[in-house]
Amino acid sequence: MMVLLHDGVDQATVDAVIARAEELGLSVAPVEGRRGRALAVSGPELGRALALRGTPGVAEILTRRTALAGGEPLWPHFVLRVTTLFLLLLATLALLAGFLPPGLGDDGGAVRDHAPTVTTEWYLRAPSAIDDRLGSTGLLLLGLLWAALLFMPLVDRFDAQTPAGRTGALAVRVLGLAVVAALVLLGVVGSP
Amino acid sequence: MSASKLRGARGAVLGARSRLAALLAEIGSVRVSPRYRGLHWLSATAVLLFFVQLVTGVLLALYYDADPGSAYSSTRFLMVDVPAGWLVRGMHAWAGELLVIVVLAHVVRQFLRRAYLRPREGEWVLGVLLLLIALAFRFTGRLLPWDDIGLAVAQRGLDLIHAVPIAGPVLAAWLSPGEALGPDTLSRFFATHVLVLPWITALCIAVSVGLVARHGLKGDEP
Repeated sequence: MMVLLHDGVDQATVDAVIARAEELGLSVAPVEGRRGRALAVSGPELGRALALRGTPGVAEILTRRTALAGGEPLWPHFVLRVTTLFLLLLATLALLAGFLPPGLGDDGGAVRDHAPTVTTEWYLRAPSAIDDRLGSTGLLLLGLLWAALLFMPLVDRFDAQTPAGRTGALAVRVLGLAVVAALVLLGVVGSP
Repeated sequence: MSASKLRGARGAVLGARSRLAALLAEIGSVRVSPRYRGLHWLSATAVLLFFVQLVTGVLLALYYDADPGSAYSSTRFLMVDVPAGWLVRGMHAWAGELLVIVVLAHVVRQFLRRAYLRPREGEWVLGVLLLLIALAFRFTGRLLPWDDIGLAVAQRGLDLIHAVPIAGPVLAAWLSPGEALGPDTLSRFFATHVLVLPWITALCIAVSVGLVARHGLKGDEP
């Protein structure tokens, strides 16, 4: 469990936090993390570390990787934010439905004898364009692209701690963005 | 009922109430990571849009008839004669459209942040699956009014799926068993749209939220 300290906290305050933790029967080891100074707390009664909440100098208490203290309470703060977002979404959707209603074409049962001239939905345009140009090989490549996206944790094994790893990770990101841009472009200029 | 049994029942009710109160207090004491801000809200937006889809979808299903002979007329009736029917259909359609965009933006953002690395592989895979599911929702939903546009879109989509080697023909045959689009196609699209996809989505969202609660957000690590 980690006890994160405020930025620029003085040594006397840190010592006071350590003393308080030791009073609670915990072992403490000061560490310098990416997010500043922290205390790594251990001991058989680890839950007692929560009593450090509110101690001067303590910014946040983390257990494994989950914030226990320092974040926003779920109730009522976060719930109210979500409710506000929900109301805004409802208003947006109502406006879109009012001003740009979804179309309804002619009865499909009545016009089956002739092919309607319609524009394909936007998400089908890129696959359509690929199919027109490359056939099923292109569609197979598109399927493999989805598979690569799904298994990204296995594809990108670069260690960002090393210069070569950083270059590799950057290359993966640039390649990914290029593929997305190409698909969007195909969707825009592709065949209906 | 004897006095002792009554006391026992009252004790059970009080016990359940105190357990419920304890559970609510525990939920209330949960804190959201201070890093949950800005574009992190894309995930909450996606969940809310899915909720809108569910509610409006149930309302639409009250009037919709999944039969080629009456699907179009039932949709038209809903839009013209049912009070606010046009609004419910419009919100359902737009929520589906926005769901694709929001999930896509979320996936792109997570990709650029390399948020798929250990220990968040599960969240990443679920995010990509949700993007595929959002697209499947759009595709299967477009045929349901049984209008000429929906039929053309479904036919083109099925042709594309069929052209994908190996898995494509199997999936296309499952979605549309006959040679041409017909009653079987409509019922399969309808079943996929209202029964299969919503449950899978709900499961994906629940597991994803659980994993985020367990691992925290990227950057939570000290």
